[in-house]
Amino acid sequence: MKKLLACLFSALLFMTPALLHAQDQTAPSAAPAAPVDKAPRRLLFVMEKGGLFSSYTDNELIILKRSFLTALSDVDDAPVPIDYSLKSFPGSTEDRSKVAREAGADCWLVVKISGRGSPTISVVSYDLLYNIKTLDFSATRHEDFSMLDVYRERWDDVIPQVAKAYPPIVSHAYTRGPPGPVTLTIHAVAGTSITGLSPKPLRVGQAGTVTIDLPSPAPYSLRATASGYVPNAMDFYLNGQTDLPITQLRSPWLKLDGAFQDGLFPGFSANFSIPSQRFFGRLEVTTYRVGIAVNQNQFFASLPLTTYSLILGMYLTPEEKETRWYAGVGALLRVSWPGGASLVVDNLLPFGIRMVGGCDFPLFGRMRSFVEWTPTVYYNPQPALFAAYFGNNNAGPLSYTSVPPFALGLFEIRFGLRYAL
Amino acid sequence: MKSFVLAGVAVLALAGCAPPFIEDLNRAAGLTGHMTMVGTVGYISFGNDTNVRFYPTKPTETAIGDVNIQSGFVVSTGASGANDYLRFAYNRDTGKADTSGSQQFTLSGFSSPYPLYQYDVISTTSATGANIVVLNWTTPSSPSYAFYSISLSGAGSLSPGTSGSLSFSSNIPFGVQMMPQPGGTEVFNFGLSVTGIVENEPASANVTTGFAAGTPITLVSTTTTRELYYMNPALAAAYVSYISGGAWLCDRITTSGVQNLSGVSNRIDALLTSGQLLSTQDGTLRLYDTNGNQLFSKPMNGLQYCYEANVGSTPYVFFALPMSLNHGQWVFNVYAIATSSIGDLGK
Repeated sequence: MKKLLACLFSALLFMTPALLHAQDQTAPSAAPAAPVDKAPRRLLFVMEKGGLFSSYTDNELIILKRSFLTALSDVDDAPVPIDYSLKSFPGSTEDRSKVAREAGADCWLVVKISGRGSPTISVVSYDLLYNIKTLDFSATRHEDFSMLDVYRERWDDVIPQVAKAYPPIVSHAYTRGPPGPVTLTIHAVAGTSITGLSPKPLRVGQAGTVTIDLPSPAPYSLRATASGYVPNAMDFYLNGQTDLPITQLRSPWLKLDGAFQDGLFPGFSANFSIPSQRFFGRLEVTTYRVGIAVNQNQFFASLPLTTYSLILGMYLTPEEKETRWYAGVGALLRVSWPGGASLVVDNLLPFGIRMVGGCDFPLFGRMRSFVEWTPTVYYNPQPALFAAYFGNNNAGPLSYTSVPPFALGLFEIRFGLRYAL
Repeated sequence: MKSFVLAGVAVLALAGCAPPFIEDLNRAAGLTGHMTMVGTVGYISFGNDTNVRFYPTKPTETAIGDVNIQSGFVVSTGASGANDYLRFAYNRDTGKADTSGSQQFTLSGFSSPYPLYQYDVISTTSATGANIVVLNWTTPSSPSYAFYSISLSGAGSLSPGTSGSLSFSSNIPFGVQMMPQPGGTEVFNFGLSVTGIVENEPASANVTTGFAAGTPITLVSTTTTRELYYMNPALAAAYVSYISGGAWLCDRITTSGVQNLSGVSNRIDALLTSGQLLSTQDGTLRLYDTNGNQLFSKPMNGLQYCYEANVGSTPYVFFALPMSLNHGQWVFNVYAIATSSIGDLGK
């Protein structure tokens, strides 16, 4: 009888993980009662030197690196560093993660030292298990590193944060044996649909969690979509961990731009969009009251000219991608308020059709940067005057072209910062 | 990737251009918006010359929509302020104008509030040929004139033709007005000072052989010194604009006597065929009716009055807008408005 029960129990234990099923979890899991054996994380460590001037020498960098590793090893439960010794470390998150994984690490850390006198320490780190950027900050010292006494350096502005970001995890995460079942609890916004892990989409319950049994270790990909939130596509390497938080940003309905147009003339714009939709509308203002342009007699140019644009556009790249390409078209109005006169629509090029093609990419937090090509077809009611304006010395290096009754501004560039509310 | 994008943006920013924009054009837009643009001449380089004035060639078309002025005379004051320079400019090709050699006029002796020189384009033969009369009032008691003809198909020079003193028997002219006539002709009306009498002296259209005396109209006057003089034969009335006690005054002279127009306190620059008086003093456009009542006042913001001329049988008032571009270059837009509609400029 005991043998029969043992066989049934064993069969259930091994059959359950093979069936990829999901279930809502309406209450937090009970804390495990038994003590868990934990192992330190494995950190691929890279130290680089930055800055065009006053850079550190290779020997100085080696000394600083040893100092950092020594200080890290003194911290309890700190990740175990794996020194990266090749000449150059890749620049993209994907490539860095690939190198780290091949090196047997489950996270990577890049520390860049730049500037003498008041050196700046830039820190970027990524967790391969949770597929999230854990650290991205800079710290500036008020004193230079003392190379003769560098082993007293404790790196207190960096190492505590590294240790906090990578606490030890359960040791069976590093099991090298055949895949075993792990019950993974995914944390996300209630109602989120998760695809890629099971034949049918998972639905996150009201408690904000959903569980699924998955073989581990193994790589996985998922896509999480929720109404009003930016879709999130992520890859992760399941290696024994039992929780997977998914970071979901609200889809912004309004993005504010601070930009420069035509050289360095400032402008502002508001981009309106329906959350989770690709279409957007933009109201744009650019003033030429103050700016820099190389085709003027003086370095700083000031023109009593303001342009207003209404652009309708569409993102060509899904919202979850880092770099998003978009295109649009709209109307542009040029308004002038010259000294001693009234506000008028510009007589030279009163209005036009502006096209927009560009991309934006993340900088930090909700801040993104963008660059756009904004070729514009202007209505040109005075082509002879326009041609006279562009006589011999008046044309800039990248000028406009007159095609009566239009003028083409083909080399107009707009770039700046974009903040998502 | 980001570094390349940012570097590219930095390069584009440094190579960026200010957009095409002409402030002068918009500054005068409040007035030119009521007008028809009838031509653009330029660009022309003047170096450091100041006080640039443009006198477009007279239109030969019969409909305002067909007018396309491509040339004109340019007067500017040299950098030293000692001389005026007269040039003829015409559009050689798109975006560039050729100019004749300059004719120099000394400004020595100029101290009067009245213009020392008066320039009147009297005829146009082609886009590169035109005639201008320059009247010199250096010696009011014996003023002189010169006639300039220009034809740039050859040497492209500005050469004086007939010149001489304005002499009408023993009468001394104290002012002159050029006025378009029905049928497209134009006449010069001279105010001649005779004790107690002002005569009106129509000039021949062919001024190259001297001003021929026409039929005088005798008007009662008390004026014998240099004044700005305007004659309206249709009303049998003349107007004189003069400065007295530091202020500009205007009198209307008829056969029955002289009447001061108290409503006019600015220099009068034209008597239009409509009988209205036009002033551009201090860059302000003022229009008065025949009785000297001001109809409106508007800042001209760089716009210059040129002349009144017929297009077909319709009189138009012509204005020029000099626009300073970069590198000492100038472009002139020419605008016209029917004399009968000039009141629209006050709206």
